[in-house]
Amino acid sequence: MKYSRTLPIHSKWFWGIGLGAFSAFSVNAMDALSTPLDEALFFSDIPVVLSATRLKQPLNDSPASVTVIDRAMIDASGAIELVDLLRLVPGFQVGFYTGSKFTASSHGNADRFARDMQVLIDGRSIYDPVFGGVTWSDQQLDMDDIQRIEVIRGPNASTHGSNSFSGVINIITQHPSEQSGIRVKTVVGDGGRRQIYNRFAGSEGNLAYRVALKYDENDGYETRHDSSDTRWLGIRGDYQINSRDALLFELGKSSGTREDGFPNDAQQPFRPIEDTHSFKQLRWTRSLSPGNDFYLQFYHNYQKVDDSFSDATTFFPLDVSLGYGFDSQRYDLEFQHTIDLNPTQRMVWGLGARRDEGKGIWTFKRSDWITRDQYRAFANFEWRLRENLLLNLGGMYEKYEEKSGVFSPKVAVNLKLDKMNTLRLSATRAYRMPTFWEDFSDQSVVLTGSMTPLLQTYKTTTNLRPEYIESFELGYLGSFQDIGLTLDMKLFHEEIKDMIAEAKALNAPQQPFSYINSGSLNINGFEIGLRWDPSPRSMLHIGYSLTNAYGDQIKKTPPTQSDHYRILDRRVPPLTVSLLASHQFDSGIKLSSAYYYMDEISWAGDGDDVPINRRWDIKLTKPFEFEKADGELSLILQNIGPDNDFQDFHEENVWDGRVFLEARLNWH
Amino acid sequence: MPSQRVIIDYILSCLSLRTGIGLFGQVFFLLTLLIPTTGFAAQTTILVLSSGEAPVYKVIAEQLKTQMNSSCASQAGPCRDRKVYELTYDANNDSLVIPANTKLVITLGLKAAEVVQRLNTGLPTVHALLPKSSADLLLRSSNQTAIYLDQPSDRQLKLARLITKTPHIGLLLGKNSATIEVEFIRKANEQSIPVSYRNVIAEESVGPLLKELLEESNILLALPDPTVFNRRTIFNILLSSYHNKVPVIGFSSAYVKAGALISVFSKPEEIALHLTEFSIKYLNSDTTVLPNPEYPKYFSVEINHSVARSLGISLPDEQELIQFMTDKPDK
Repeated sequence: MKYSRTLPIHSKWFWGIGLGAFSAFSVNAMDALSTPLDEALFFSDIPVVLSATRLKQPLNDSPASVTVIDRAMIDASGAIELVDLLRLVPGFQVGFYTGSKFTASSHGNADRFARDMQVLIDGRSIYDPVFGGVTWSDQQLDMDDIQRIEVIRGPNASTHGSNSFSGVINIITQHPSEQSGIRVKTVVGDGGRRQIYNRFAGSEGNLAYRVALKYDENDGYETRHDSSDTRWLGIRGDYQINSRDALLFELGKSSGTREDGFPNDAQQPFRPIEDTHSFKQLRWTRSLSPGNDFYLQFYHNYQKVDDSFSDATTFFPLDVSLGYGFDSQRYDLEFQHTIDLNPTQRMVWGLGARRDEGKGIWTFKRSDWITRDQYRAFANFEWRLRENLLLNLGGMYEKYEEKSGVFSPKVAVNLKLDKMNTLRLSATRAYRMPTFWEDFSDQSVVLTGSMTPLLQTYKTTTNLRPEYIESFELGYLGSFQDIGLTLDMKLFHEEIKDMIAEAKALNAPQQPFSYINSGSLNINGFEIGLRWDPSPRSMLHIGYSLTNAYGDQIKKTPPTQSDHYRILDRRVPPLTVSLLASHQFDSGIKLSSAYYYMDEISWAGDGDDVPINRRWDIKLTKPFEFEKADGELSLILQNIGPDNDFQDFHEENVWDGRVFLEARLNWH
Repeated sequence: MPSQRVIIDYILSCLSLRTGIGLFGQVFFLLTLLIPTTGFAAQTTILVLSSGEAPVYKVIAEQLKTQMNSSCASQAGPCRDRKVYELTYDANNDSLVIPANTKLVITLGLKAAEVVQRLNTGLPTVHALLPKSSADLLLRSSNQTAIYLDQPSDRQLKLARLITKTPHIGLLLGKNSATIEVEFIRKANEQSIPVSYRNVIAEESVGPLLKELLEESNILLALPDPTVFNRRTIFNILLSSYHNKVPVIGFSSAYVKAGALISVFSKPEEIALHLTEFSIKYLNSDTTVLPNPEYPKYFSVEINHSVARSLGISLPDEQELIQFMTDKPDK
């Protein structure tokens, strides 16, 4: 029997024996005669699907504030760029510094390479160790492949590893067996946007796999030289060796050209930049019993940014060159064991080793790889002291080559007032290692051809210490399942200390920029995350963050007067708000709308002080269904509200309204 | 004498077996009279025919033997003289020996049930370890009955009610689960529990049908039907249910390990106990009429606490659950 896929909820279930029940019975009883069922099914093993590592921690047991961006939010958001989804997270800021290069940070204090965030895709860190941050548009991942994004707001090194500094973005992709079939998606729209995404997912014996391909191009900002194109291939395979052992492998490769530059800017002329990126990942998971498993994982990321240019006019008659290009790679091996010790005690612990490598003739004046090894041990112990009292104790010790070992502890107490209301008190510290660029920067304007340095622009001379953050928070989580409401609030105080600051070295010849440890930034604030599903077809999300920040650091070293200090107070926008609402009508049509507000912010590095950002998006989706296929057609209106000509990251990056048409087709 | 009838029946069935039934065509069954060396005419034998060598059959047969002995130890009379005689179906071995004084045949599993069915022994037979759908196909004569391997709908519905106060059960039905459906929906109706279901004609449609089902229901009941629930589909079923926060009720211990929230099932020991009680009751009674097929009397519940915790579902412990499920509904 085939039921139409109309969406009124009440049309397809039956109180008691309806006509449907009888007719279905008569059809199937005939077939059943030929195949008597034996007892093996009742006693045979089946693969462990929901291993302990695949299960998410319930929010009221979590030692930190967590925002989950699920499929419903992704579908409703109307986001074209993955990074746009992070605007939904309370306290998060997203900047588009070109039409294809993005930065995303929690509590501001970021330049184009937001170095304060750990970002994982299926347990693989995509943080770039050389310049820091994440090259979002190089990732071989489409939003359609995401199961959910768990964002931990605040430091959490004990469970998510190095660099879980001001937050962790944990992206979990869908298992291929949930996607079986072919999907084609195209997006066309303003700003020269053309996108095509193809996916094939299937299974062969014990192997389930996905192969995805994407091409994406756009012209970026009207006001910028920032057209781009990207193409990538991504593969995921899940092989079930037996009922308890499973292998996950993923690999991907991408490349693209991204234009960048400003008119009449000798240090940032108009130019194309070539990006290539690839990765491979292999993970073996053994499930020992429910709540008890371990995995061993290896991955390798590689990234190359080809960015250099010559200039024959500025220093005429000299023909000079400058570049920002570099190669970066990371090898990582990790063992993690999750174990339920008894009904009240649970533990996750692990060991890891990592090698980061970077090279760049333009950025480090060397053509060989600079390497840095790291070793780490981590554990988080969860102890339910009483039915309503949960203690989380965690920590990570990490030792980087040529740095002192550091320990990032975490302690949190969750007190359940009743079934619905939970209070959380937590204190934590986490470290951020300097990037290769901060530690080893050595950049000059050179003579074209001979590469003879003419003018030193960057030169780090000190062995930097990691900067660290101390965070204290009082959180509240209300989970009102009866009405589909989750309310998450927190008051926090954060102190970033021993900051890694970019400073002009006044005493050095040619006064290059250099990196030093200097200054601190204090952030006090209040955040609200609200999710309300009044019905299975309606959803409301609110993210709200109010902060007050103050701090300073050295801008020119050694400092002799007050303007040699950089005031950091405006690095964090005082107010950020996001709203997302969606509803599906009886006709099947889905209407959703998102609104984002960000106060004025002072972006660090080459970013500017930009005024308030306001963006209002609307998405309208019509699903349709054929015999062996289904799909949907969406109209996406981005930034259509009043005052929509805001500046994003750079003064020159002026947004305007954008209209996109998105079509999706699936064959089962 | 029954023994003569057995021989005749056997020869007849043997002929029919050898004249072209593929499944057992290679196998030659030999029936001999086993003369008890102890020679008591009063002795009765319970024949247990297993479908294979797997531990589950051994556990049941052994347990049955022990329990019969211990329950009879205190009693006088005929009870003492009952013997449990074990046989194992073996596709490569060509003999099947049924003792002459067999008063009750117990088959364990489908193969054994089919063999006895084909032999047409005429002996009172109870089929155990047999899924209800297969029992419905096999049971033709009045001197055969069954203790199903499946759990009764009532029990599953009560469990659903313990997971959430307002259960809405989702069913994916395949070729082997069609017979479950009618009874299940009738029982659900009695308890005012709404049920959504989809008929899976081809395995490829499990994905889209499941997606629809998960939008409507808040509990998915996994059914013992390999045309729907198998190694290929289980990932999608368990993952999608989990992602939609829909807990799965499974029908085996393996389901709980794999990621079902909870399973209700009968362990071999529990089936053995049921069989013991059944045998004693039947042999002690004067009647030769077998009771109707029944669902397993004893059962276990197993919870995956990690899944329960992750889904934010708090459940009473397993013993309490069994207690709740065994209590009569308070009508």
